[in-house]
Amino acid sequence: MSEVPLLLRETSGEGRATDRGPRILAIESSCDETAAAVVEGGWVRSSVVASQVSVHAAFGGIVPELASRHHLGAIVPVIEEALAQAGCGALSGFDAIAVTEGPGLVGALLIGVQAARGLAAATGLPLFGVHHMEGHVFSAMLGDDALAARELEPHLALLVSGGHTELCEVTRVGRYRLIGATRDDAVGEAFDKVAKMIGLPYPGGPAIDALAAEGDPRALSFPRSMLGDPTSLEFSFSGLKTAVLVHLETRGAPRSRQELADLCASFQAAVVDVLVAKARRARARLGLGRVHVVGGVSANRGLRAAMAAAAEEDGFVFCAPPLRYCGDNAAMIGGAAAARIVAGAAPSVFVHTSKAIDDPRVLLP
Amino acid sequence: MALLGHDLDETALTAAARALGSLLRGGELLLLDGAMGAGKTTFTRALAEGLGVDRPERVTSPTFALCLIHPGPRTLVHIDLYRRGEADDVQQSGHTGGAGAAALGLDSGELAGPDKILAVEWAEYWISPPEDHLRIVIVRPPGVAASRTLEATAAGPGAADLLDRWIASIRRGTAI
Repeated sequence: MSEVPLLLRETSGEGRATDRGPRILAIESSCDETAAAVVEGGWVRSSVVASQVSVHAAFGGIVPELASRHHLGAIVPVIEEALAQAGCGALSGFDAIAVTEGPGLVGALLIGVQAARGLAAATGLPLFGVHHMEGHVFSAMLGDDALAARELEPHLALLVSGGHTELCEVTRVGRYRLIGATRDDAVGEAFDKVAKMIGLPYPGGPAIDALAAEGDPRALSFPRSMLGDPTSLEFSFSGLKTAVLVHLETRGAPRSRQELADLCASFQAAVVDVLVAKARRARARLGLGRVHVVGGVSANRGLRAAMAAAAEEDGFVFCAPPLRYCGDNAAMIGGAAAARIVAGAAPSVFVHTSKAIDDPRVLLP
Repeated sequence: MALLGHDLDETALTAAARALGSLLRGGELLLLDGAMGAGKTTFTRALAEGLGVDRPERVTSPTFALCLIHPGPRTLVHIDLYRRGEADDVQQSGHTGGAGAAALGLDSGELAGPDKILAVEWAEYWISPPEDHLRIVIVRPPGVAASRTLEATAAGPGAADLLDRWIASIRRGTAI
């Protein structure tokens, strides 16, 4: 009994309570998106994302100095646009400012953090740092004009992005336990690197996903790493990456669009099989009724379809955010901050490049 | 250059990496070279086990994050310059390595220190690393998934001593 994917749900207006929760200006700049949003609790009044994908696509990946430079140019206009779209001329009537404090590229993070610190100092509003992956957890809870906000329920989160592949038990806000993660490459990284090997543009995920839809997932046999040990909740994608390399070395590059599509479909099937199998295993072990797939790779159609089928078969609720909240955005940072504020978290910002979501500084008592 | 192993499987490669990790005292700079899929991250993860960081199981590819820090009695600073090398235009403008390394604080020594070990993947993009370093090269033969050659070159007295001890350690061991 899988539920209807969030992006297909009709406008219900349920999220439009009169008192939705703390009104927050949220800022996100941890990687290559400069984003700002205005939220009230988990309800999004505005969400503005200035993407640098086109800038970095020319380089086949993110170039840190370019990222910092673009954040610097974009941060103020993006904040102004988010306030304007929310109908807020200034930061009056706000309860807090929130900003992504990590993990991420330090040069990129600091631009959002310094902007947030400046605004907090000027307005006297409290400033809350949010862990980027905690933001992704809350991306599945957000509501807006087209979507009802929802309460956080205990669930298994599969966090999949360019830098992360993690299984996390989410009990409530501020209570997270990592129970599995990749041993090497993140899944989004594997998509990007394989796309590069076969001459597809950056970012690799959407390009491979689109071609995979035309191909035969059984055309080529790629390894499903770490599936053999029934106790393991770890992932490994570097062996799959090497298998694709060896395939290209021995068989040559795809000679037709069909061969390319078959390669993409076979690669994606290997990735999706492992992600879904581990998520099912972890959910059953923890006895949780919900699985949320969040992070940039949650936009992958093959992954969504396979998770929905697994939910049907195993009888759990599968939830993924609508596409507009899959990639990095500030609304999710605001949503997480709102939940932390309601839970009594103290305002603090701790800039870091590599703390995990279950670091003591992220958890709440 | 020293050949540390030939036709190694993953068990043998990680055994060599663990052996090196257990010899590190802090302050070392390890430059890891090898093509995509050679096993640089796998090597570093085993190195972290040998070194004894608090959570070696959390060592993952830093390609996306650029720098992942693993605390322990001796901290492992795990860096990846892959994205630096992908930027052809940046390379042509002469910024490769230098600017990226500067952005990470590599040249200013911020990330190095007597209690820290620096392991750098895609180190060929670091144009002028500090003089004392151990360069580790992992090579996968074309068309083969599970075989690696492991080589190392020491630059500077500290790295030379480390390489000697690593070779001795591997000879004592049975894994290779």
